[in-house]
Amino acid sequence: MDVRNAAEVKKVVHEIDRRYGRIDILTNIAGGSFYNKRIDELAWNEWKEVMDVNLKGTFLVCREVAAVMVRQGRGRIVNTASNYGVTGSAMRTPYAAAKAAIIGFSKSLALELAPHRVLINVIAPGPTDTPRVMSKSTPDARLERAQREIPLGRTGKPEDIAEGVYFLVGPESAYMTGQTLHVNGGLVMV
Amino acid sequence: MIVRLKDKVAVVTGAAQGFGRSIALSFAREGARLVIADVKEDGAKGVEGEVLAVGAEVLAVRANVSDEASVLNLKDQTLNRFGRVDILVNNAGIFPHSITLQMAEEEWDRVLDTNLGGNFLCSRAFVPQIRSQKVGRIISIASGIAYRGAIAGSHYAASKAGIVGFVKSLARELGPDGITVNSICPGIADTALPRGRRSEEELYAMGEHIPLGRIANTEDIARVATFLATDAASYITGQALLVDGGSLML
Repeated sequence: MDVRNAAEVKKVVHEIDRRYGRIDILTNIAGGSFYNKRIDELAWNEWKEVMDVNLKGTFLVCREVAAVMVRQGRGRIVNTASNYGVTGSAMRTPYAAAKAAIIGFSKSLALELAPHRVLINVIAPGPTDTPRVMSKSTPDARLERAQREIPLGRTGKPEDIAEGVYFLVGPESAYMTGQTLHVNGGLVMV
Repeated sequence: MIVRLKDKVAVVTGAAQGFGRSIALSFAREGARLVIADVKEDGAKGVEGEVLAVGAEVLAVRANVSDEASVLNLKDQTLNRFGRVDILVNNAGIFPHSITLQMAEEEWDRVLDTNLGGNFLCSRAFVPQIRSQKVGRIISIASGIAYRGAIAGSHYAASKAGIVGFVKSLARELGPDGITVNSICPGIADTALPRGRRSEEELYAMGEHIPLGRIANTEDIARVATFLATDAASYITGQALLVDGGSLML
């Protein structure tokens, strides 16, 4: 499913609903920064690409799935931001803007859907050892940076993020909505 | 059932009632050994009995978190009994109501010394032991009032905002030792403290203005504290988790 394609998202969500009759959990993970460019080097279509994958995709999938959850009278949605959505990041203006926007979007959606017992929260990973990140730097460089900048002295593992998401879709977070959970080893404290 | 805090030793201050009691019982159900610390000895003994009923090891200690000697006694009794500390929950707090212009200096001192000073004294007392174990958790109970303020509660708001800042600094200091430090900021909850002059009906009616439609119960907070105490939260530090049904979204 291409999260940027409204018709495709609608079709997939409809098919899931038809097959299972319900959707209890949605995690919007799809995203990426793609470009490492100064703003004067950044083309409009590059800006749009980052916005579409990260922000519009989150909107489109939420829109379709939320309708199912409202019908059920319950559901959990976790959207993915980034510490950059709070701190900003040089050379990644569209990514930081999109991630900040996901936080604002999620708060508004949380307010809209709380009466239907649909909870929306955000996970904000810090530097994490995903294949994409690991392909761009050496383990030594990552460790050196982590020990210099991150209180817990290491970069995140995908499992750290998964645990945060698992918490946000489970019973332990039943009284939390509209919140952003930062999983970043203490790099950013909001 | 898989228990996630098997044999961990947890110290919970202010555990005779409210959040502290629910946190202690939740930890006990997850296999932890508990130290029930409270200035109210009878209350602490009562919760001790409840923890025993869950089948967990437990020690009740009378402790005043604003008194240095009392906190050191708490530490000594904890280590004498269990020999280690894995989790410290700084929960003890007070919330007398006074308009700021009429607030006595004594009351200001008492609130700051208990709510914020207690965080400092307890953390300072237990950190050397936790640090020697190379892993541990400190969880402090702040409040949504840290962000929104409260009429007739400027001392309380200052103390809770202070906890959020204290926790961030301590998280930075203790990160290299593998100790995470986080705070939980409950919203309006069904505990003894926020009632003030409100009737039961008025308290529950406040839930109508909360996105999730109800005030918090102590279990809502205990569940989040339990998550923070487990290995699942080992990469989360320096954070303030708002557990308030969506009242504040920061």
